[in-house]
Amino acid sequence: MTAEATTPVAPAPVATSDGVAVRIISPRRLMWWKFRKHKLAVASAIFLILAYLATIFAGFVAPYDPASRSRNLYAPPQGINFVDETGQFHLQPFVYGWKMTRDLKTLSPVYVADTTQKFPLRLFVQGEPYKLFGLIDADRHLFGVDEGYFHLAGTDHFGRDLFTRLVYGAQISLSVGIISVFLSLVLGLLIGGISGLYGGWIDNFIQRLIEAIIAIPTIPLWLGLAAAVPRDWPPLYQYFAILVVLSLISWTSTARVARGRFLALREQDFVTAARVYGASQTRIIAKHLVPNLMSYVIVTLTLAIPGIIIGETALSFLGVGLKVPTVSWGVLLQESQKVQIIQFYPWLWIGPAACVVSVVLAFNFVGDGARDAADPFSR
Amino acid sequence: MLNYAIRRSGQMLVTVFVISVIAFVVIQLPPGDFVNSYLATLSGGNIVTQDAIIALRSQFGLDENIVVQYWRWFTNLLQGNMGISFQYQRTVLDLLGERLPLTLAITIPTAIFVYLVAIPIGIYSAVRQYSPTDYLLSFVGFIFLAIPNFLIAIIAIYIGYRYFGGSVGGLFSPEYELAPWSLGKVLNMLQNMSLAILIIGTGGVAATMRVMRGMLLDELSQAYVETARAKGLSEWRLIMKYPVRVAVSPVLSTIGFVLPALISGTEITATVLNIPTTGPLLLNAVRSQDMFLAASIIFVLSILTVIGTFISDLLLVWADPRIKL
Amino acid sequence: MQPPIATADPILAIRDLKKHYGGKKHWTGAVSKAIRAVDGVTFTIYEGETFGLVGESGCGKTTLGRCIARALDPTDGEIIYSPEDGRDIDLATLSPRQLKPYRQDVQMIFQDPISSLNPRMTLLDIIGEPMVVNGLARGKEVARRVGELLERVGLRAEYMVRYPHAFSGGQRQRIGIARALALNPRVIVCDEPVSALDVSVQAQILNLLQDLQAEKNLTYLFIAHDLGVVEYLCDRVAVMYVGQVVELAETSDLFARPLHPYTEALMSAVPPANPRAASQPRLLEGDLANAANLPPGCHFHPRCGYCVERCRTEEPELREFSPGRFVRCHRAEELRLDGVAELAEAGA
Repeated sequence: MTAEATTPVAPAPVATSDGVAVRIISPRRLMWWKFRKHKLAVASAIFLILAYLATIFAGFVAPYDPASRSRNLYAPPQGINFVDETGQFHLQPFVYGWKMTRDLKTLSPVYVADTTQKFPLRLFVQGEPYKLFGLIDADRHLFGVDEGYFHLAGTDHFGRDLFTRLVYGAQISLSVGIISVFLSLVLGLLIGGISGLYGGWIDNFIQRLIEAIIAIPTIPLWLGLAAAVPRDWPPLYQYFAILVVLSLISWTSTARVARGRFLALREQDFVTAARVYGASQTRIIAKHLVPNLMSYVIVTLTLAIPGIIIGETALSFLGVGLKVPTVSWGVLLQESQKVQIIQFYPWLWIGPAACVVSVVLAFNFVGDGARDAADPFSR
Repeated sequence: MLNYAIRRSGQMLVTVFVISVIAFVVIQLPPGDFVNSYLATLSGGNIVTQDAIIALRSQFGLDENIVVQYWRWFTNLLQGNMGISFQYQRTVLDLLGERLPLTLAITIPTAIFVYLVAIPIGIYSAVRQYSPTDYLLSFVGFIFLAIPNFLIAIIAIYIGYRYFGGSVGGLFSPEYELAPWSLGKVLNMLQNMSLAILIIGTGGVAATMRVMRGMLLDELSQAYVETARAKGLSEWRLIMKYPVRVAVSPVLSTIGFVLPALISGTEITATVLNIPTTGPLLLNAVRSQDMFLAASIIFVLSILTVIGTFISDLLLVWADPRIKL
Repeated sequence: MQPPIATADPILAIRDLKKHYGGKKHWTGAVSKAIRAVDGVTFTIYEGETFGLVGESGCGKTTLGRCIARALDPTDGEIIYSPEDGRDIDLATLSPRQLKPYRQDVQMIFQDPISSLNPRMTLLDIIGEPMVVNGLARGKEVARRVGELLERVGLRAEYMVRYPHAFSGGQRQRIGIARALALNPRVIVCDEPVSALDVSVQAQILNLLQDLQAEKNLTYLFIAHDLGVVEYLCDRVAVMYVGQVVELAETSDLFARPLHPYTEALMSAVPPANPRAASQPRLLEGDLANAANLPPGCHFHPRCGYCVERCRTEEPELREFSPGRFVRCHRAEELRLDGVAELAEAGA
């Protein structure tokens, strides 16, 4: 490849007559430009930001308290209507109340929309009290009804609002992804860095360890490790224990990428140049290696989050991860593990499943876009 | 070739050793030694004499230090003595012998299914890059990558009930459950197994298809393809003759990642579909902290993965001499 | 051509320098053979000259250059450097701490204009960091000096806030030169500085290097595989083959009458000045010898057209053929080899 073939992706900066460059394009901006070209990745990123915001403001976004019960057990989702039974259009959306009957054969509840009960939907309604960020007392909710009830995603066997539980479950499921990935970043950089820095038998040993961990089927190993978490621990301890279990395996990909890039970068001429003009080892790592490494590491992490979220869901689903009273998407799925529930009350598993799939999908799209953007100088 | 095989098996032994250490860590992790948990599971009815406890402790050398304990466990393991399951009151080897064949009978066909389906789709997608079909395939691939196996299994159960009115799951349909072996029963079993293979394979197909597409696209942008085209070779012959052959071997070498993922998938899907592989056994063992059984299952599954990868690596080197020995 | 440098002082004396890779005993008992990238190189570079180092890729010339700039640690041998105070210091054995004061004096220019500049740094940081690391300047002073350097190498001072990706290959090479100049070095190891550039840009960079040499009394160790560039720029040339110098002479002598068959083969590959000349390129047959498994006798004998029995068994020494001319060939006296000039004449 000739040197002239490296035309920059972005238009060259224009210099004004007084010689001051109008626009300096930093590599970071180049990456952003490249990322922005992936519309799906940008949309996914916005979706994820909204999802994480919703977990922070869970009490506000959820219309009810996750533990409060209504008389409607196993009620399916209520559809939002703009047109009433007479065909008249209302600007204010509303929901119908439920009329419950029982299936005479199975004795399971059957709900029919009761057109005599209309509950108009409002934004910023007053509802059940909650503590914002666990500190501030509040009772305003993003949406809801003044009278009656509104279950956007249906209710479970205790009549608890599933949408509310999904929002609170997101707090656990989404934070598991981020925190575990952060833990595995620390582990991966530490171990990968040691591996690359010292080389020799330490490097060899760590490489074999990583190979061994990759060869072990993930879910069985996760199960084995999760078995060690004592049943009688309080939910918070269990939560952290599961975090550790998940990161104990996922650090390997970070370490592999970090080590590989580290070794490749070490051979780059600009690192040689820095050695020749006498920059110290620490300085070379901090100013030359790490900044060029980080974008790749971030991409690896983004692509590792889906695996971790699925891991938490799978473990909790199998009953060895998080357990009630903790609410996570996996726990919600576990409650619907019975064949009867799968068959008769599909909203109970479709809700959490849709949440897991859409978040995983979004992370995959963002990771895909970020991977292309991580190397902004390639075409 | 022989040299490569020797070097590679040396590496494999080291990996096996590291895996055994990890499995031993899994045994050691739960608080309290396992004789305690053994006694706990026996509390119902059986009377355990003090002698039996001491015998148990010394059999596994629990009074010795951890390295000795590991070594005793590992040498026992190599002789096929994997300890006993407290829960089932049988030797681990016995239990594995019962369940493992089915795990393999599902995983191996799944691996074949994954590559047989993913490679042609990947080729098609790459050759018709940016066509509506390519977009559709890529999109569906992304979706299936995002849906974990056990969710697909749940969806399958739901669809089976809702649209076909039948129950999904188990190795046999209810009418064959207790029936003696017959052609019908075998066909029924194969039918249920192929459903499992389909469910487990989806994620692998989605991932492998993307790799194949990417590899082939890289290859198609090479100059020699242009040259061959200029010479007037017909498009399909041109693509199948070299680029596909070049692109396939790195795709096949992903088996080191695909195989563990498939075994994971088999175990969790079998749990949902209630198929008696090692999966439900492992889950039970983990739930009741029957750690010898759990660790042995993890160990054996991992070893099978390592051996599978080893064999496919050798086949790959044999088939593709360009791979550096 | 410039006059021979008989009067100049030595600035770098390389003595039996070696760089071997591997060669460790494996725990299985197998001993992997060491790769002898640089295998006993000896020559002296005089102050103010341009010393060329040529050879095929893989012959160890880049490794040698990097050892001299101490980007690599040599396995054995001496690099005697003569600072301005008149002492002699062996750079090969100094620890990183002891080496630091002399680092400033020997700098490097690289071949690859892409990988030689950190993409995450502005030109100010790239060119300024050597000064900061060595305590030559701080704060505003750094920016002022970077501006001066940029203008000296033909770029605008205000470019210093930009990142390398905004520049072409030739411009990037100028930035690399500015970075090397930042420490006011006495010696610059130029590792094929123009071979990745278009021909039109090559000439500009070579002229810049020549101007800088005259202005700052620089000494160049110029590594190249392009003999045309070497003939244009260098005062003396050493030819390397698998880690060893096979011939060393003043440029005009070497090109007029090579003494080593390998040199002749390299030259015959250069297209003659007259395109209609009937040249008979003595193409090199076979591959470069494997540095981990060298042939016995003369390392070049399997590819040599003049090989006799002695060459297969007895390894030749590098010897002084005539004052200032060194050659590593048993048959140097009896052979009458073609240089570039004769090839051109033969066609005319």
